[in-house]
Amino acid sequence: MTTRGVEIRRLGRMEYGAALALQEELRAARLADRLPDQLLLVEHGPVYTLGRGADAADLRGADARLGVPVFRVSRGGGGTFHGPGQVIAYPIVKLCGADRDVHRYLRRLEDVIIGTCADFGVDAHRHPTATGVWVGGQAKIASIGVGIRRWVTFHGLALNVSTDLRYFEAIVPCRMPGLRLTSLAEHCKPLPRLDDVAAALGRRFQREFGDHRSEEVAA
Amino acid sequence: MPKLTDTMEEGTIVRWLKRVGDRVTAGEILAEVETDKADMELEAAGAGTVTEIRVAEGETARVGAIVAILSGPGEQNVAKTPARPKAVVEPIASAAESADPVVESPTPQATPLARRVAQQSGVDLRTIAGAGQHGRVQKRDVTAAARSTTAAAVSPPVQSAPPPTGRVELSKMRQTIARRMTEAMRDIPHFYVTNEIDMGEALRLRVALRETGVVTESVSVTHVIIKAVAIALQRQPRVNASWADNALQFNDAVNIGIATAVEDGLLVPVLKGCERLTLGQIASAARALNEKARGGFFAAEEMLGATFTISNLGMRDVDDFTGVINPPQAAILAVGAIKERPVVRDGKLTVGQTMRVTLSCDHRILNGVEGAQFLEELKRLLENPVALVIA
Repeated sequence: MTTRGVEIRRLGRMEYGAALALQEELRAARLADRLPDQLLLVEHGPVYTLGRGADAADLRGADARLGVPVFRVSRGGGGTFHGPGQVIAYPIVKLCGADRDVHRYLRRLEDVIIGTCADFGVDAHRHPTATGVWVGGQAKIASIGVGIRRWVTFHGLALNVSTDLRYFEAIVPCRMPGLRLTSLAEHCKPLPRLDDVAAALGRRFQREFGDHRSEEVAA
Repeated sequence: MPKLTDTMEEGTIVRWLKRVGDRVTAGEILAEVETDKADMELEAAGAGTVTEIRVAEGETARVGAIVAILSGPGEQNVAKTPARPKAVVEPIASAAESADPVVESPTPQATPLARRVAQQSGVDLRTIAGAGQHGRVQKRDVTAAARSTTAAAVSPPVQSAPPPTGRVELSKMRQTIARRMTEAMRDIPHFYVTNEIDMGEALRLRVALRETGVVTESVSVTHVIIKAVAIALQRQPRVNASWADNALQFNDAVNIGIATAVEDGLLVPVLKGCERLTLGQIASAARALNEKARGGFFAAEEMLGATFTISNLGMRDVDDFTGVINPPQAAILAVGAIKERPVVRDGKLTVGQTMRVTLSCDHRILNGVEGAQFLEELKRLLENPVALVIA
């Protein structure tokens, strides 16, 4: 049993491609145990990304119309939008022992987000069948899409704080036509600062993933 | 398709990283798989050559389905060995993981009897070409091989393995059992309810079934217990429910796992759809599964999806014991031996043949009364077993 923390890196505004390259680098280092678990907290400029399950048609041409770059990436899930006013978290975590369970990992990420929303007085919850975090049963406030290689995670989650939701309305988000997204801005007054939300999410993440975890020798 | 999480039902092959004809080593990545919101990897469960890819890129397969076939290592000395295809079905994080060492065993396909004879006569199964279907090694192949060996040379006396000393690494199956049982005891608040059941009528039922020919399949006490448990579970659906993260998942199907001791470990083959099976059908299905488990063959799907487990030590001299619940199930029934014990019937003391059963319950799902009600129902059924034949 070892007590260890997650190293949290608050990177501020970062280009999507650069963040992806950084994740790849950290993932290799984490796999080789050259680094402890990492949490990258960033904000991106407008970008659409397509997960494994996405069809380019899901973008409905919004990328061309709005001049938003598109990345097809190796995470689970459909198409989504990242942009200003959104807290993006990329955990580079080595899953060990009982934690080697994809759904368990997804549920723990949901717990982190639900806790973060609660920190700002927003009552968010899970959906019985759809991964992600929801408010009021109708609108999704945070999207999750992860990649796992050799049980080291990358990609992660996006929590809308003051995101311009029209970017989502222009596409079929998460393979769910008609899905409505929401943001903390629609539920909190005054609107929390993006930095404060990122910090709260980091604390929640540290609490969920950083405490007293048994370190298992990689098989 | 490997089970990458307990709640996973299917996965989509995103991309194959290996092609037919490629050689792979154990642990190499064969393909990328998507399930739900996660993009994962499919690792080779053993070494070999990819001989067939059954699920194309972009296609979805149920957990336990065969997605590709690896043939065994092709060393010279096993050239004669019947090529036993090794299914790439390594379920992860489930009881079925224990299937791995058996499924991936480099020993050739052989009947359970042939294995036993081979072990007794000290014949290495890998040196025998089987004459059975698909090259399956049968008893006569083994005895023939044993004869030729003794004729050719004075075979060294069969040395029984020395008793183990010092540090011994656990097999993968034992490691899995160790991990899962530790998790179960840590995470599940267990409590236990015991009842004693008079098995006289149930034993007479077996004899009656045999003599009247009503059920042609030979029915064992275990089969009678499975049938009674199946009915009791339908009447007490909460005991057949699963823990689903602060919710209860009620299961329509009654899928009963039968804990089965195998060499260096434990497997839990699952009798699916017991709510639809007659006693005779349960007997034949249970016998087939048991033989498969001991012979080291079964499909991964035969090891998954249990809604309840029975652990029967009735063949040993055991009065009662307690089982550890297999998550996410609500309970496990531990069955002791049938013994002659004093019984009070109609106010008179007599000797009866009784059996003690202990239900381990997940207190998050069941309370004491519910556990007790289940055992009362089971007792009623086994002591009045006519219901087991007509249901």
